Amino acid sequence: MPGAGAKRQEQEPDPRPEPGGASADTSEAAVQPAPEPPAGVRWALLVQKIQTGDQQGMEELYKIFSRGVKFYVWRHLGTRDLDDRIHDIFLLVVEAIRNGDLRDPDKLLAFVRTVVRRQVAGQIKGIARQRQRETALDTKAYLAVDPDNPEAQAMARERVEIMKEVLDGISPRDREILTRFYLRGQSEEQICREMDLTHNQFRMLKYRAKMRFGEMGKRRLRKRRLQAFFMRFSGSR
Amino acid sequence: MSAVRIGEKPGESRNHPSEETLERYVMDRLQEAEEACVEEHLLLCEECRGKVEETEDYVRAMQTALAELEQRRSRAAREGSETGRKRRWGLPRLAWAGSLAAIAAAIVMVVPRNGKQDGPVELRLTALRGQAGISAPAAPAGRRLVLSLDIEGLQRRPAYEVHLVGAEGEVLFDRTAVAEAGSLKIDLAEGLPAGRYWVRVFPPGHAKVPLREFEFLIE
Ligand SMILES: [Zn+2]
Repeated sequence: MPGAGAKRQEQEPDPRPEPGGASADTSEAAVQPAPEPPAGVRWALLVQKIQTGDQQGMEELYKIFSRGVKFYVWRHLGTRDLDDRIHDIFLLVVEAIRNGDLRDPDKLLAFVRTVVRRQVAGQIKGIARQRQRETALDTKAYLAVDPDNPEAQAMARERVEIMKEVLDGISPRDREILTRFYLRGQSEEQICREMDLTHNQFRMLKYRAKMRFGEMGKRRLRKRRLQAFFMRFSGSR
Repeated sequence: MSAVRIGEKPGESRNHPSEETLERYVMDRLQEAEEACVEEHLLLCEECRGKVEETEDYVRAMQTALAELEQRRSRAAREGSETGRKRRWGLPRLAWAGSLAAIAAAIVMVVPRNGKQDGPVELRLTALRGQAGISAPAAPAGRRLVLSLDIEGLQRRPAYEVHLVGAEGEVLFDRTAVAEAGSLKIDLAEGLPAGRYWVRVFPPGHAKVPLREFEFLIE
């Protein structure tokens, strides 16, 4: 079984659009330069405005970063007190800029990220300390999605069922590879070494699973609202 | 971080992280410098924030499906070997302890704390599973149990969420655990009844893509 699977994969071209095909989990470290500011924005000018207390500068800062900051905070801390937390973070950023903590205005992006991360990490530590004291077992259902959103739950369940169909249709060896990567947290490097795979074969397997997931999702959910979600996985590669 | 240029507006040049990079971001497997790049990009890029959410949904579906299929298979295997199991449980205590030691050498260490026979037992669960088909580590039922979960290789975070999942996929508890020296410790003062269990480690907060899963038995 393994031999056949490996051969089949070897003959397929690399589906990915990007060249180079880098590497295992730890070696793809060709770090990009920091993203450019949005069109028409100059970090130095924006920082200067904030330092001089210009209201327009603060509004601009909020406009540029509020959604990104909100996304980060929401992913780590959830929706609770979200707006208050965003507000506090912006106050901190503005205050720090005014205090001269940002020496190089071109590093504004990295600076905002650092402030946000510190804030979130501090809050997580607080929550952890509080929860460590709670030792009683509780029987909350395992819900990866918002428990107050039955539609999101149904969609998540549907995705799992489709994925099970995908996984039922592949070889036990391929399933083990995916299990090692997605469930056991093993690195691509370790999996390739222990399962005698090339990195290309490994990526091809993951790519195929994703394609299949998209196709099956589309077929199964053609007339349903979930279709929009799956289109994104299979249509554009 | 490999990158592709997509969805650029005129006059705008943006290096979006590749799908693979976003997947590793979601799974907490980027090195710090790469993670910084991705997060800075996400601060400004709505399109990639959407992709992160999609990737999270995909990875979560994959993990849940894999876990459920695994549970289904191990349930089937358990039912198939029920007779053999009963016989094994009937072995004298010393022989049972010996077989446990053999498993311990491979993937787990079961350590009576303070050397006391009735003291807490520490079950060290590591992410490295050399071979397929190896038995899940085991610990005795009804004893105070300290689970020590290996989080080496994950992004350093101050704390993680840990779910203990029973054989039917039900969450028995969720708890926030503070990371210490490459591991998370979960103290189960009451111990656990016999059965098969899974421990899932999540990043803290809202993101619910499990980073790692460990399986163990209570016998
Ligand atoms: Zn982007």
